[in-house]
Amino acid sequence: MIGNDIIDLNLIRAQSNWLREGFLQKLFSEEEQTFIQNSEDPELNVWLLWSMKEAVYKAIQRKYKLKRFYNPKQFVCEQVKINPGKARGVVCYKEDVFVINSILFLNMIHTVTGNTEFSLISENKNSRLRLLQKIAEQRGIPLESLNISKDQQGVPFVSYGSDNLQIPFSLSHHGNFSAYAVSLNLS
Amino acid sequence: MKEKDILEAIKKIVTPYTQRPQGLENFNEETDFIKDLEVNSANLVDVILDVEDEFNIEIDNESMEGMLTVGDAKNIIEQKLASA
Repeated sequence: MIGNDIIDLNLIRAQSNWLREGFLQKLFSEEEQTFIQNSEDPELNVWLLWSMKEAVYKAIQRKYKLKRFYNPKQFVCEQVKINPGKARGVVCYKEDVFVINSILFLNMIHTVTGNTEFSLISENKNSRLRLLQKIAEQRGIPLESLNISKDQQGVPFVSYGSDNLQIPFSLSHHGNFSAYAVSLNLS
Repeated sequence: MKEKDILEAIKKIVTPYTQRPQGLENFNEETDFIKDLEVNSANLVDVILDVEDEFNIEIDNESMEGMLTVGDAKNIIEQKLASA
């Protein structure tokens, strides 16, 4: 199941004070807090781990058709490895284990679950059209037959023509950025 | 504490994190922090910390899990105040 999360780092710095008393304790386990505090760039790692939790939240919500909820500590980040410009790790939610990949820019983090076929990051409002164009190109199908729909839980997918085939994708917006992640497996 | 005062306090707390000010005009128990006020999900934790400070209560993870609307927050605050 697919999930993604984008963070505009300039905006999140203005919106959140991660050094606030109690902030890290509400979002992160003891182990995650230790990882953050011992890292070279604690601020980046706060938002990296947060984006991992958010991406997997979207994936499990889709997988189990869950109602919305807010419990960041149920998502446990492990084996986080950071390299220049990217990061990898796993996030456990109950019995599920998700591999995640992130790309790190100076002004943005984008995290996707491991089954992502391709992702698209956009700074303009035409990102929906770009998403559909890219899918049309990849699948060799006409653009006109593609539409974005949502199911009853509000989970989005791309449908095409009168066909029942649905292409799952995950969408995230924050500040100046939008990002889509498109799944490998059709469902 | 009166229900009206609790709702007023929640409104005051959530206002600085609200990205959709129109949502505050019609502020009621059904108001959804994320959908109606467009509070960033990372700022929900600030709302929770502010509620803890304002009412001198502790909101555990279990209570936090269902805190999506103003009414949810009000119910949790009332419960915690009653058991304090």
